[in-house]
Amino acid sequence: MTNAVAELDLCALAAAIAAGDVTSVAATTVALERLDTVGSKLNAVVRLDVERALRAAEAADRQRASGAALPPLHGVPLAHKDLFYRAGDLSAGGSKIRAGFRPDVTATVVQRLDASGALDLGRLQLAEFAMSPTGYNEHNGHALNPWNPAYVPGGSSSGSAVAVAARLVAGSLGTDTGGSLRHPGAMCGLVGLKPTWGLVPTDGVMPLSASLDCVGPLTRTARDSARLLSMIAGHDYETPLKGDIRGMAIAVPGGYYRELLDPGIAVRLEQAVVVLRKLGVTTIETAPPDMALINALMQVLMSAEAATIHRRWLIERPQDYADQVRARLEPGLLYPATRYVEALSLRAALTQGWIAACIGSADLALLPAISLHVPTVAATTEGDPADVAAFIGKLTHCTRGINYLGLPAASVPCGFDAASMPVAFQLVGRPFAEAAILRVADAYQSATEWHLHAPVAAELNQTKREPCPSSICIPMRSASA
Amino acid sequence: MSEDLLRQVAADLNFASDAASRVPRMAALMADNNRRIADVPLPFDSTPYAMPLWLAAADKR
Repeated sequence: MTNAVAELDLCALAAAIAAGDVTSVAATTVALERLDTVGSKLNAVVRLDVERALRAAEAADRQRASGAALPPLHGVPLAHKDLFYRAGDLSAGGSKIRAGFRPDVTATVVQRLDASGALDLGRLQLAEFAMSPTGYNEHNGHALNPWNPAYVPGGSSSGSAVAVAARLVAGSLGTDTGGSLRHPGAMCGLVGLKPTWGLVPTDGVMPLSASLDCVGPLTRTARDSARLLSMIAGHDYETPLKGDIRGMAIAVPGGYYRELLDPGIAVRLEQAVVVLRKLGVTTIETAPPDMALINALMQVLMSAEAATIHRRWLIERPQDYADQVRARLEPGLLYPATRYVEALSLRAALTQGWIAACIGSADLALLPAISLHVPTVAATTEGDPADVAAFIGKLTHCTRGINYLGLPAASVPCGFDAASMPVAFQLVGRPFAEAAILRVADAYQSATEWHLHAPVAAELNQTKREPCPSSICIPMRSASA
Repeated sequence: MSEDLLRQVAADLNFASDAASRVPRMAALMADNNRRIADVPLPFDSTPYAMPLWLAAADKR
C-alpha cells in the first residue's frame, strides 16, 4: 500500500482520492512517514506539521463522504520550499538569520492551494536565502540528490526536488530567480516550471529579487505541472494538453547555448529533438544575441535588489551568511543606481530581441537546462573559492538570462548520463506561453519513459530505470504516433 | 570604478566596512558588468516600467 500510493503522480493521486480508491488520511500518512524516514536521510525536510495535516486529511475524507463537490487537489498531501509563508508558522528561508521568523501573512499561492483542496504537510530544504544553483546550505547541510547522494540536488529549491524525485510528495512549490526551479528539476529528473514573470503572485514568499522572482511547481510530469500551475495562477493549463503537437515548431539556438555544452549532454539533447520530430514537430536553428550583456544586466538587477533587502544584515551579521552567499549579495551594494535603472529600462527591448533571434518563427526554443553533468558536492564546495564560484557560475549558463528576460521556461528530463545522473532539456517560450511549453513537454513524456524511473533512494523496491549510458538508447513508447 | 572608490561606497555610503575589505573579490566582475551596460545606448525616452507595460499588453489569457 505504501509503495503503491507513493508511486502515484499528482494527477493520479488526486484521481484516486476523488474516486475513493485511496483516502486522504492514507495518502497523508504515507507521505508523512516517508518524509520522516526517507526525507530525513536525504536531508530534504525542514519541518512537518503532522497533527494539522492529519486533521485536515480527516476533514477531507469526511467532505468526500458527504457527497460534496470536490476541488481539483482535494485531500492531496503536498509540502513546499521553506520560504512560502503561512501566518504564524516558522519560515527561515534556509538561513541562520531568519531561524525564528514567523510571518503574520499567508502567501497567496498557499491560500490558492488550500482552496484547491491540497493539504500542506510542512516545509522543505532550500539553499540559504534561495541563493545557490547547487542547493548549497552551510547552516542546514546539503539536501542530497536521491539519484546519488555524492552529487548536488540543484538549487535553490533543493528539498522540493529531492522530495518529489524520491516520491515523498507528488508535487511541491519552489521559486526561480536565476534557475532555482529548473536546476533542481534538471538535476533530479523533474519538470521544473518557471512561469512568466508576474504570472503567479509572489506576495507572502521570501523575496530575493522582485524583478526576477517567480513561483512555480516541481513535479514528475508536465500534466502534474499544469495542474499545479492552474491552481496557483488561476487559469486552466491542463485542458490544452491534448497530446498532439504536430505542426508546432521548435527553435534550437546555437552559439552561446552550445559554448559550454558537454558532449554527453549534447547527445541527450539531440535524442530529445529526434523524439520531438517524430511527434510531428519541425525544428529550426537560430542564433542568440549578446548573452554576456543580458547576464550582466541580470546580475545587476539581482544583486542590487537582494543587497537592498539584505543590507542591514550584511552590516550587522555578516558572519551569519555563508561566504558563497555573501559574495553574491555584496556587489549589489556597489553598483551605481544608473546601472540598475538601465537594467530595468533595457529589459523589454532586449527580451523582444532575444525572442526574435532565438525563437524566431517557431513556437518555443529548446536549450540545455544545464550544459554540464550534475556535479558532485565536492566539486562545488572544495578548493579555491574563486574557482568554485567560476564553476558554479557555469551551471547557470543557460538559465539565469531567461529570468532577466522574464520568459516562461521548464526543465524536462531526457535521460541519464554515464554516471546515471539525470539530464534535461529546457523549453523557453514567449510571455505567457506556459500552455505551449507544457503541451510539448507532455507530448514528449507521452512518448518516453524517463519520468517514470525512480531513484533507488526512494526505497520503492522498483527497478523501472535503466542507467542507459549508451548514446543510442532512447526508451520510447509511441513516438511514431 | 577603482577599488578605492568601491571601498569608499561600501564603507561610507552603505556603512558596510566588512564588505569594503572584500572589494578586491568583486571589483573585476563589477567593472565588467558596468562597462557592458554602459556601452549600450539607452534611448532618451526610456522607462524602467517598459517591461511590465509590455508584458501586460502581451497577456492574452
